[in-house]
Amino acid sequence: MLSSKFIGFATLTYMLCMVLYFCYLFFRNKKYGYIITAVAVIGFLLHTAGLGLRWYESYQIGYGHIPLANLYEALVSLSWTTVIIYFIMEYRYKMKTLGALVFPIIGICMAYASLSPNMSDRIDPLIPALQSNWLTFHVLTCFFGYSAFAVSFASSIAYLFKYKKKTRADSSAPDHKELLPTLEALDEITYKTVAIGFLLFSVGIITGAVWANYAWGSYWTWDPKETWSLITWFVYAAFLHARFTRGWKGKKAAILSACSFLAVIFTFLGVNYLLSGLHSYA
Amino acid sequence: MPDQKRKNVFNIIWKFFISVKLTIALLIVLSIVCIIGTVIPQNLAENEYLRMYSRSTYEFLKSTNCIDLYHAWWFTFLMTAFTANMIACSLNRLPRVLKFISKSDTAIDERDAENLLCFKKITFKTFNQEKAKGLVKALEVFLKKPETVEKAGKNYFFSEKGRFSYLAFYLTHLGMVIIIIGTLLGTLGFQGFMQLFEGDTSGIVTLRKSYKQKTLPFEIRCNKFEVTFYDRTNMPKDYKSSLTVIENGKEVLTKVIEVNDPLIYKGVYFYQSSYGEGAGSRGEVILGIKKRNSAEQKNYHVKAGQRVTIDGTKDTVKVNRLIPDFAMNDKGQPVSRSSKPNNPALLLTVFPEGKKPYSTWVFSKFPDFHKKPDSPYVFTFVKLFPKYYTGLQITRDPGIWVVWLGCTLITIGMCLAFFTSHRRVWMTVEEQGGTHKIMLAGTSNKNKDAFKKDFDRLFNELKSIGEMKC
Ligand code: HEM
Repeated sequence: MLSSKFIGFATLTYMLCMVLYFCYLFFRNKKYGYIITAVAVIGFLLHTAGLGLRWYESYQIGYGHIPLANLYEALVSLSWTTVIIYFIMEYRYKMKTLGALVFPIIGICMAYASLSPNMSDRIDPLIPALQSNWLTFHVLTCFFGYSAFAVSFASSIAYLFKYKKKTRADSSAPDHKELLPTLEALDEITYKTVAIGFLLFSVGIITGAVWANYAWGSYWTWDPKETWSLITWFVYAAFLHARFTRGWKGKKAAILSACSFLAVIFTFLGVNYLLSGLHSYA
Repeated sequence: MPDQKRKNVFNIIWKFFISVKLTIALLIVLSIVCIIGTVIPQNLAENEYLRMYSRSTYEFLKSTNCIDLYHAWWFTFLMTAFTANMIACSLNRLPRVLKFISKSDTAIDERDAENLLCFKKITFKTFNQEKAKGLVKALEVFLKKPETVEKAGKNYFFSEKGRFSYLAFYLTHLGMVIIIIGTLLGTLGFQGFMQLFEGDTSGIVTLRKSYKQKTLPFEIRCNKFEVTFYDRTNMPKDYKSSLTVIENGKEVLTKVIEVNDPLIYKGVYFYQSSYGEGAGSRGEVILGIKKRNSAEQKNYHVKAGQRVTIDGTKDTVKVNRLIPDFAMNDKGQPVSRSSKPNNPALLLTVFPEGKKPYSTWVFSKFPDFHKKPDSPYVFTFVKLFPKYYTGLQITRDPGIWVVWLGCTLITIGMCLAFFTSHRRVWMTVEEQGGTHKIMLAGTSNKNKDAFKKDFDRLFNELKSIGEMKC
């Protein structure tokens, strides 16, 4: 299939991006920043073309559905939403260095989708329950939420990394040698991405409930995936309240946000492999 | 004094319920409980648990309600604490919020201003109408057209934006309370299922979990069931049933339902949830009839409930009942164990001309069973035509719109919580010996770092106005 080729090239481009972002961190030369962004954009365009083509191909086969139906498609789409969220943050906060942490996550997702031996990139038909526009709303909002959480994970790791290096120096003074943003900026990015992720993920849970009610006549059944998304929701709600009302910032917040991401990974992948329920991909 | 003591106890309880530590503790405990709920499978049958756990483990899990923990008393207790926490906090912050929501004073004391998040002072050597306009314009661009007051020779300016941001807390937290109320209202409804063969009509729902029967105030008829498959696979692409609602003997509504498109009548939802093949009580069969002392058997294609005349006679036979999976219940009455044609049986009533009618059973799998030796006819159950049945999930949930209302409020509340803040800026201009002293103070309830940066920008702008040559 042509779409798989595009997605394969996108994967390679993202791998290249990962290396470039690392070099950028290492050589600290701002001039190359634009080139890296340009490479990332090319990867993203290939990726988008691959997904679009796959959507088109599914119509040609006669199944006709948005590529969100099996694990392969889920991983590729999740990487796609992560790139978008990352681009927004890069643009908004004018810093590229976070890419060195985000692109490895994207690269792993894409490579796992393309290379894992027990991953089928076949286009599968949809069972009737999944044939609904709610599939698009529900999965996309959840995925954008997951992606925002992934970026918050990256920025909290960056925070901890930098915190360790920076022993007791004045954290608010901008560091000219280093390209990693200030600790304050990283803390801000962590909070902002968690907040956006929390909002999107909540909308994802709600659209899932609406859909379940429409398809099965019950908005909440304590299915393992549902329960784990609730756990993730509780964990991030705890994070937000610790910050809102107890002023948890900095290192504590970074550790908490990094750990909370484990719940996201389990909700997205662990549930499908380890527990069974309505949501199992393929 | 006992009164004092009571007050103290009340205070301790109140403090407990308005603490965010309780919130965080509850969120963590609920997460752990939910993890347990996904590790231990819920609501299985006893023998399935015994395959996984030893009997003593099973008894332990059962006695602690861990096999149905979302309905355990202690889960309800946690949720109650959660709700109480949110309601107590909402009440607790109400006076403070009302204070903020009512307009702030335009004039501010310098001593109060100093304690705000941001506070700055400058002195203008020259001042004129032009500069005053510039100041107001700068505030207006920053937030909103300021209000002004002149008092004791001082000019006060006040500008604010985003007072509604205080609603965020109430929308999210009361939204959640509303969802919980909605789920409680939901328990007044029911969830059940029904299997209906093409042509059959029924108003009886089997309830989930309890398997009790519930009679609806109307009946539903399945006119037709259709399933299509993906090419070259046995994976269903689509299945649909045409249903008609019959109330007081009248057809009131007909709709073709499919997965993701239910029929709704008087708050009862009929969802297409499954289908299967089997035989209903209205099934079609081929009944073989032969005279006792003849070798020739004649086959009749009959529907359950139909009466046929035996060829060459005036005797008739009625197929009274068709039971696809024959069994006896504890009262010794014949019932059908399922819709699957595992042990099909027919109850026939024979009406011999001019004689008393009599009844007999015929079994498809056991042709020699239960023969009436004195009957002039021998009946054979030759064939059963299996039919599709449609599996309907039937629910009534009076709380559903309350739940959706809560969800909407939470979503709006979160947008307000994360993306809006209440920003206020005060400015006073005071003439003192030919110079003009300007004081600028401001605060924001959220996103303070960003506010500080913006405030500094505003201050620099004011400074540049002061330096303006006139
Ligand atoms: C939808 C998710 C939630 C959001 C967006 C949210 C948002 C907020 C916000 C914005 C505040 C105010 C912080 C401040 O003004 O300093 C707050 C406080 C609080 N929230 Fe939540 N919250 C959520 C869920 C919950 C849940 C599930 C509970 C559980 C009981 C809870 C309990 C509290 C409590 C106790 C406070 C402190 C109130 C106070 O300081 O008076 N929240 N929350």
